[in-house]
Formats: sequence, C-alpha cells, structure tokens
Amino acid sequence: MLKKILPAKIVNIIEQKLNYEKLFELRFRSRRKISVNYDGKFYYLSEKGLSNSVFDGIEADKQFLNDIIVKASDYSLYTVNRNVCDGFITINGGIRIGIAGEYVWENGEIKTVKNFDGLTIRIPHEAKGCAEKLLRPVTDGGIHNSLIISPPGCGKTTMLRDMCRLISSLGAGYNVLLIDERCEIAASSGGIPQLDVGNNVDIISNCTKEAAILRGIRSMNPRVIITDELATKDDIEAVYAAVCCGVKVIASVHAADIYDLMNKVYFDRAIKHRLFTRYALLSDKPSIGTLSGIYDENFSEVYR
Amino acid sequence: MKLTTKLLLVALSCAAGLLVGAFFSNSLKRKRDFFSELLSFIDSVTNDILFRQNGIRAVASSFQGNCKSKLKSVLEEYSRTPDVIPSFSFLAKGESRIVSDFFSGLGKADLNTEKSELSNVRCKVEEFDNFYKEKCRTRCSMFLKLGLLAGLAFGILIL
Repeated sequence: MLKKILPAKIVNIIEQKLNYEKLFELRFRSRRKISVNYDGKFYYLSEKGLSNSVFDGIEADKQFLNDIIVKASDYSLYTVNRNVCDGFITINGGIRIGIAGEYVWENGEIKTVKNFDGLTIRIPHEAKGCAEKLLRPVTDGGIHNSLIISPPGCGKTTMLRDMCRLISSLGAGYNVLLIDERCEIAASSGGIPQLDVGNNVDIISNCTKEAAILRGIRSMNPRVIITDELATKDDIEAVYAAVCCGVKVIASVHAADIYDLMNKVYFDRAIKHRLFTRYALLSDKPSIGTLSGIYDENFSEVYR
Repeated sequence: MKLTTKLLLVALSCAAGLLVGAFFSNSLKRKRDFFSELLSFIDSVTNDILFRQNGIRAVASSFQGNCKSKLKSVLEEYSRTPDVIPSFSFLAKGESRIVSDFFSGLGKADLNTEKSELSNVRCKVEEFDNFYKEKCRTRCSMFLKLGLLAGLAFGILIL
C-alpha cells in the first residue's frame, strides 16, 4: 500500500535500503527533511538509507505532501474530508496518516484542512504473541476490565490487537466486540480485517466509542469489548455503560505512567470507582511493547 | 461513354459527396455526444459527493459502461492512471483546455471546493453541449445534402 501513495524515489529507498518490518513511521514535513522511526529510533531518510545527520536527509516539498494525501484518498479527497478534519486518514493495511496543516473554520466548525504542513505515516506491524504475558493477568479468575497505559509509540495498538486475538481464541463463547474507531486495530477494508484479530470478533469501524458501544451491545451481545485510546468524558461514560451491562472492557490510554493517568481529567472518577481492575504499563525500553508492570485496582503490582 | 457507365460515375460521385458530408456531420455529432455524456458524468460525480461518496474512480468505472462517445476511452484511461491527463486533441483548443483542467483537478479538492468547481465546470460544459446540439440540429443534415449536391454536380461536370 505504501507503494501506491509514496513518491517512487522514496519507495525505492525503502525497498532497497531498509527492512520494511522495522519501519514504524515516516514523517514528511513541508520543505524539511524526511524522518523515519526505524526499529524504535529516529533517523533522517537519505539517498543511502538512514542517516543521523539532517544534512543528508531528503527534503519533502509541499507537492509531496499533497500527492500523498490525494493518492491515499484514491484521487477522491472529498471522500475522506471528515477524516481529514479529524486529523488523520487510515488506508488499506491499517496505515494511519496523521495530518497537520491549516484548519479552515466555518460557523464554529472545522470545514477542511488545507496547506498541509506535515504528515506522519504510521505503519502497523502484527506482533503475534506480544500479549501472551498479559493474557493470564487479564483473564485470571474471569476477565478483568483492563487498561493498557503507555506514551505514544510504545505499542498499545499492537498489544490490543494481539489481546483481541488471544481472548477470542479462548473458546467459541468468547465473543469480542472490537471498536476500531480509526480503523487501525483490525484495519478492515470492504468488511474484511486486514490484520489478524482472531476468529470470534465483531468489528465496528470508523465510529465513536459511545455510538459503537450502545449499538454493539444491543445487537452483537459481546462478552468483551476492546477499544483503543480512551480520551474524553464521553469515552469514559461509554465504558461505564458497557460495564454496567455486564460486558468486560479492555482499552488503552495515552499516559506516561500511573501517576500521569491519575492526573488525567475524567479518569480520577474511574480510578476511584475501580472501574478497571487491571492496569498494564507499556514502555519502549528496552524495546517497543515492553510490559514494565501489571497492577490491580489498588495499583499493587500483581505480575512482573 | 455508355449511359450505364455515366450513371455509375454520377452515383459514385454522389456517394463520395455523401461520405464527405457525413464526415463533417459525424465530427459535430461526436463532439455533441461527448459533451452530453460529460455533462451526465459531472452530474454523477456531484451525486456521489452529495450522497454515497464511493470515489471518482468508482463513479468513472460504473459510468463508462454506458458511454458511447469518446468519453468512454477517456474514463478508461483516467481509471487506470488518474495522474496522467488524457488527450483531448479531437476538441477545439479552448474546449480541450477546460476539459483537461477539469480532469487534472478532479478529486484533489476538499468537499466544498470540489462541489463548487464541479458547478463551475458544469456551466461551461453545458454551454458546449447546447452549442453542439444546436449546430448538429442546423448543420448535420445540411452537410449531407451539400455533400450529395456537390457529388451530383461533380458527376455532371465530369460527364
């Protein structure tokens, strides 16, 4: 899929000089050098592959960025207007393109984004088995409402994907509802998940958590709901609604650590009410997806 | 020269005159049909923007099946390689520029800009459509008649 959206020159460098399995992110900034997250570290993309020197880097011009967005929308930018206004487009394969640019407002609403300044292309990689260590703590004595905590880029989505696969494999009765708001976890295209999320999984894509949980519980009768990136009050309220219906929830949140989570708005109530009984902390040391601790509802370490 | 030979020559001359007349007449009809179908295509794209949002390549793929004019090959080429602007050498310079600009910008603007650009180009294409419809109405049969007469006159002259 990257071949279809990137300039030929960049594709050639990636194919000839880099290992695609280690490529996590590409960053294009207008009239600045292209940078790459390769195997967990950042470099500049040069003609010879990777470089630590900004002077060797290939410059991205404004047309690069425009062309990438147009190709990512399959030459129909209007079809992804809502996603562009949300700040990202997700394309086949679960590749997410984050967009920075000039927002155009009308009557207090974002109408569109123009003059793209930067694009962050995140490339998902399946890491089957990465959630094995988390499975037992989460399912010990029954499935726990669980929260995966990590800063950006530490493997939350990859962990959730594998967790979804593992839980749905526990047996035919383990019906999982996956709420894939940004189409990154399962990366469904035409109703078919492009990434392996397991057999007993129903996927609701491109929908807010609140709307998906309400409809999903009524129509799909799940045992577990898995969703990514709880952030807003509505997200937390939606989780409460699910838990009150007897459905277990496994989700993720952006936070540096437990203390950062406690200071997040809307989470203090959830923590006080012991909404989640398992917290898993992820970090990128020594590598992305490292489980640095698993805690119970009292934040006592339960597994290491 | 025998009478039958003379009549044959006149008939051939009339046929040649008719062919020339048909050539000019068909040239007008081709443009008429092209702009008529292009107008329908623009309406299809506009409807897609307003409702289903399947994308321009999907609209082009489904539309080209019903095309009879040069637009069919244009849409086939566009569906294959949207980056490459098709050739419109069969159109006049001004017409070709407007249609080229339309295809080169298609799908590259946000929703509201796309709608207003489609609306603008639709007005221009509608003008061309009306122009060629009127031209065909007044001139197509005239070309055929003139061709026949010219052929007849030529046939008589050479006898």
